[in-house]
Amino acid sequence: MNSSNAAIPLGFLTCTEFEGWGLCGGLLLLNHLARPLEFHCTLPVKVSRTQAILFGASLRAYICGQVIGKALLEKSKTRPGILLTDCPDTAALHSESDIPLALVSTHSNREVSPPNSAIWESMELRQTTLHLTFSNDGDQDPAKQRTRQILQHFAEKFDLDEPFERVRQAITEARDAAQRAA
Amino acid sequence: MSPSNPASSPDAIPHSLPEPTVEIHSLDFYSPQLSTEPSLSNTLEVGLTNGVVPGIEAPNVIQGMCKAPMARVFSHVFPESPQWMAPKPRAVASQRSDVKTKVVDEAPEQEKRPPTRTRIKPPKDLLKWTDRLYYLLQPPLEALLSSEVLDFPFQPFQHQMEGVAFLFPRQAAILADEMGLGKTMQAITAIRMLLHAGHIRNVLLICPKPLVTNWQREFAAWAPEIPLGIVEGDTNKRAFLWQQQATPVKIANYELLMRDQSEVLGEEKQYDLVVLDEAQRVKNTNSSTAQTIRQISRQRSWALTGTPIENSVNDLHGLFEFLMPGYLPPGLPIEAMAREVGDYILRRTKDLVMKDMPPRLYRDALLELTPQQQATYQEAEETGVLRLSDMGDQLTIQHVFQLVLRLKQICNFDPVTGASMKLQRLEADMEEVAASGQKAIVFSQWVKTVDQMRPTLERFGPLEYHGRIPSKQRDPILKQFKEDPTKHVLLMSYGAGSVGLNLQFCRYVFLFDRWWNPAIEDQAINRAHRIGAAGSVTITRMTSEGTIEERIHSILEEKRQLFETLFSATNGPKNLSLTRDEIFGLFQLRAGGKRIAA
Repeated sequence: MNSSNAAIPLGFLTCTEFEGWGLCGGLLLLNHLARPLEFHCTLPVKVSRTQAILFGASLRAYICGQVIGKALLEKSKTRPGILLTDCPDTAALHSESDIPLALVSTHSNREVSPPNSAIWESMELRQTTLHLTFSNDGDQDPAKQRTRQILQHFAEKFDLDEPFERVRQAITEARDAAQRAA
Repeated sequence: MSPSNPASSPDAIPHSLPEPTVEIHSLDFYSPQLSTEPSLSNTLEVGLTNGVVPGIEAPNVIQGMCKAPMARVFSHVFPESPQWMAPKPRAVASQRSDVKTKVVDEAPEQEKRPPTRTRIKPPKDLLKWTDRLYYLLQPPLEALLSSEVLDFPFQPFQHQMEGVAFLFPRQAAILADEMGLGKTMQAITAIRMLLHAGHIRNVLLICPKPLVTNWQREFAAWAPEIPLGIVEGDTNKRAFLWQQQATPVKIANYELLMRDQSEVLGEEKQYDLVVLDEAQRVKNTNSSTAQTIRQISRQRSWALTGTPIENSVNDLHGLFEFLMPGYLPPGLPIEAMAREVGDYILRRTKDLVMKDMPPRLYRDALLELTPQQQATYQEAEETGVLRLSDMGDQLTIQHVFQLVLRLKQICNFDPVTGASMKLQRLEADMEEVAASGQKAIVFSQWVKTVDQMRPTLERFGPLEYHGRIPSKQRDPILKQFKEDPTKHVLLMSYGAGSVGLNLQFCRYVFLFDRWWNPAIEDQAINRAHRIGAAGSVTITRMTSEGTIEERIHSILEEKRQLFETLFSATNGPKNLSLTRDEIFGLFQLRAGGKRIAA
């Protein structure tokens, strides 16, 4: 992997729900050594009864992907080369962004399925299955090849499901801090 | 609506009238297409309007605004690493392969361990969320091992990773692992990570003089890219070295630091981190060393010691006066003290973390004195005790001490004839050690005893390491001891050889006489019994039967048991070395000179 690829940050995006608190999202940008570059997280997004009724089954994907995911992405100072998420609802962000998006599923963890609103390509890396989607669907697109190479390189350096633990821990700390302050 | 039959009802609505309609006033999706996944910023308005139906009252209109939820975002950007810490090409690392190979040789073959994720936990006293966030979001330490930036000579043990994770986020910390668990490596790795992360740029490491070269070696092995400044030489050279800004880590010994106070103290001389090795040196808050070190301006303070409590639990007060002045008052009940210090101290024992480490085999050699020694001993004790008893109120602990030392020396060698049962036993044991190609360390309290042992042990190629050996000769002696197959025994004094030396290739340790404090004895033993030990380490503790040594031994054993439970038990010992009353009690005396009834 050349140095320019190594300089591309990865974005790890996930959402988690706290009972009585709402949905929170976090985006962690890492460099090629898994070191944090930026972190962004949301305050809890609460859904009103009206919204729940009117959005129906699409509500969660809407909140995670298009409200939280997009807001987080807009705040990041560096554009991630690839977005990874372990949350199928957050994967709905693919329709709002032209950044390649990978839904991460590990054998030791739960199996996740990508939303059927896009074309997904599977990729096996060590203990991890990735479902990849691109804004451009051309098979010969060199950007696609590059994305796969980058992911392969990162997967050799660290477990691609690990950063989500960090994001969740940070969000949980944020909630605890807010509860203490309240 | 289904059409109604107008003939069936007198109030029938003419069938030609239009049906009521439901109209969507606005379905204002931001994105042009409507899909199963609505777009951001959708504002959905749904309303009902009446159809124009004569005779039917217009329905009430209910309008609901369904605004899109908003997400407020908190952001944090991490500091960048300094440019000089950029990864070096592999070729540079290979130039240091001499160092690396050496360490690998000393280390045991690491067994394959399941992947673990050692996370850095923010300390409890870190309250600001953004500060805590910094540590929470760092990668597991194992991720660093697989990166190309931090090159490690071999994979650290899990407890070492946890030690690094403990030190890394802490402003104040005591790493109090038992000797031989790798405190040096843990401190170096934590320093290295902090430098790489751009958190610190200016480190002062203070250690006993004989350990300076050891630190140099360990830095070369574990952090070869970090430039070191070793403060040594004459006054001018040292002044120059103190002022060097290009070296992020300076290493100085305690004695030089005292001489160079003007170079170290002062508002403008600020260190990001000060590390004290063998930090028990500052346990006495009134000592000039402790007072000077406390004045160094610094952001972070770490103390490394295998014996955080050497004499009394109040030793911890002394250490905390360096770490966090005023935080830990002296005389605190042990339960309260344990509560207060819990988040700042990490102590592991080999038994706890190194389950696969070879065992320590203790052999208590209870030896009868030779007839000449016995006669001399009896006379010395009787006349000595008599003299002490006659001193009445003039009797001090120093007087008792002098008698103890005198009797212990007789237990080693008869002052008149030079007879020594211990030496006879040592000689016999050394035959076996040498015949099996092994090496042994012999510890004594006195250099004079070492002198007396040497002629008898000559055929085993004895080497000496004690206070009379100049510092520059010490490392070559250790090298020779390790590499020369004809050198089977190293004669050491407790003072010179009890800390910081790696002699894990030795399988035998002899304690020719006993120290006052079990912690010091443990430090001596752990020169050989440490990570990388070639096999079980046999420790022979020589004690002369029916003498002062036996009495001291029984007290020490009791204290050793207490020391083991110090950090876990709520009722720890108040004092670990012999107390004033215990020393008087050795001769059934008590302060004031009156004999205690048997």
